[in-house]
Amino acid sequence: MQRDATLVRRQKVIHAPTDQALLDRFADPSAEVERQSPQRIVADPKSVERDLARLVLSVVELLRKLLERQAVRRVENGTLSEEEIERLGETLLKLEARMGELKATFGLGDQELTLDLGPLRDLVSGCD
Amino acid sequence: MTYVYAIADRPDEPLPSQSGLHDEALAKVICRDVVAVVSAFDGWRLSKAEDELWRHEEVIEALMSDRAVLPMRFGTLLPSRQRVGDLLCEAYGALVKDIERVRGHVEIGMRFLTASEGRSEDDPSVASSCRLPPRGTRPGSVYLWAKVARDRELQDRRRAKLSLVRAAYERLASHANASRLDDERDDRQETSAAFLVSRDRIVSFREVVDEVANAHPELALLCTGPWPPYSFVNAGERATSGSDECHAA
Repeated sequence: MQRDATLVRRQKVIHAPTDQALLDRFADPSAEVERQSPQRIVADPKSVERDLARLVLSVVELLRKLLERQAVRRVENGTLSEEEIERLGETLLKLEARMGELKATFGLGDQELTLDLGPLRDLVSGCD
Repeated sequence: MTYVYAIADRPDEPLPSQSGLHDEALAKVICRDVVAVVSAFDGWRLSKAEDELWRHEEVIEALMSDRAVLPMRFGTLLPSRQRVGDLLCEAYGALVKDIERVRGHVEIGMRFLTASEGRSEDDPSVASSCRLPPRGTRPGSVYLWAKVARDRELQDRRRAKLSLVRAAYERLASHANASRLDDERDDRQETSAAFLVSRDRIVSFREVVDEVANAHPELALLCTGPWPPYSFVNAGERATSGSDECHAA
């Protein structure tokens, strides 16, 4: 990979896995810098529909994951009856299926629906 | 706007001959015996491209060749040189302490992965290895109990991974002057750590890294450096981030 080659060229690698496949699993640090930086919506007339869908679906996906997380906690805590579990599970199942359809419609992948919430990230990271 | 690269001692020393981002000339903003190294930032946007990250790094490393340096994060901006000077003077005491703390030291970065990482919730191996079998036969219950099982499995993996990483980290930390482990965020596959190491102990630290790697074959280690001590700057970061006028690019 280019980033690894750059690190090697700049003599910054002290120790690295000899297995290239293993090495490739480490995240690209420049991508992390990019991820930590404020994101801006690019209002391009050619892709406005898809970009708007991405924004809306990102919010919906976040809420879906939060709901799912909350449901899992309630199940683990034993605060739901079997009927409630079935009803909640069915709702989440349908929501997940519908999200899958919408993502396919707009050609969006999971990575494109990631909202960076800054310090709030930690609060919702367990949803991933 | 003014882009800030670093805060250093020895303000009378000449600046490195190289230019800064977008080939802007480097300049000094001095408060007593502390200097901020800056360049003009006139409207262009930082792209966060790898070349720009390395340019930022190169300026700081050039400064480190003959002085103690508190590196600023990439994208540190203030409204004017006047404001940079004001912040230097306001935080002067803390900056001097920080400079003394990092003098003669560099940062060694470490990133840890375990063999089981890289598998997501969509990986069938997560679901198939769950200890908790789905309950009920109706689709909603099966779905939700599968989520519960997957959640427990992932939590178990995280705990196991952190236990391995902490053992390796503590061994390395015992050979550093200071260290930090970033194990709070569980939304990333890898765990990172930083070690503040004396320049004259880099070679021996490298040997310890090799020992740790050999002792923990279940971990993949990516160790890089030496870097400016980005993770061990307290006052400089506070000085610039304490103002609403600081903007990440």
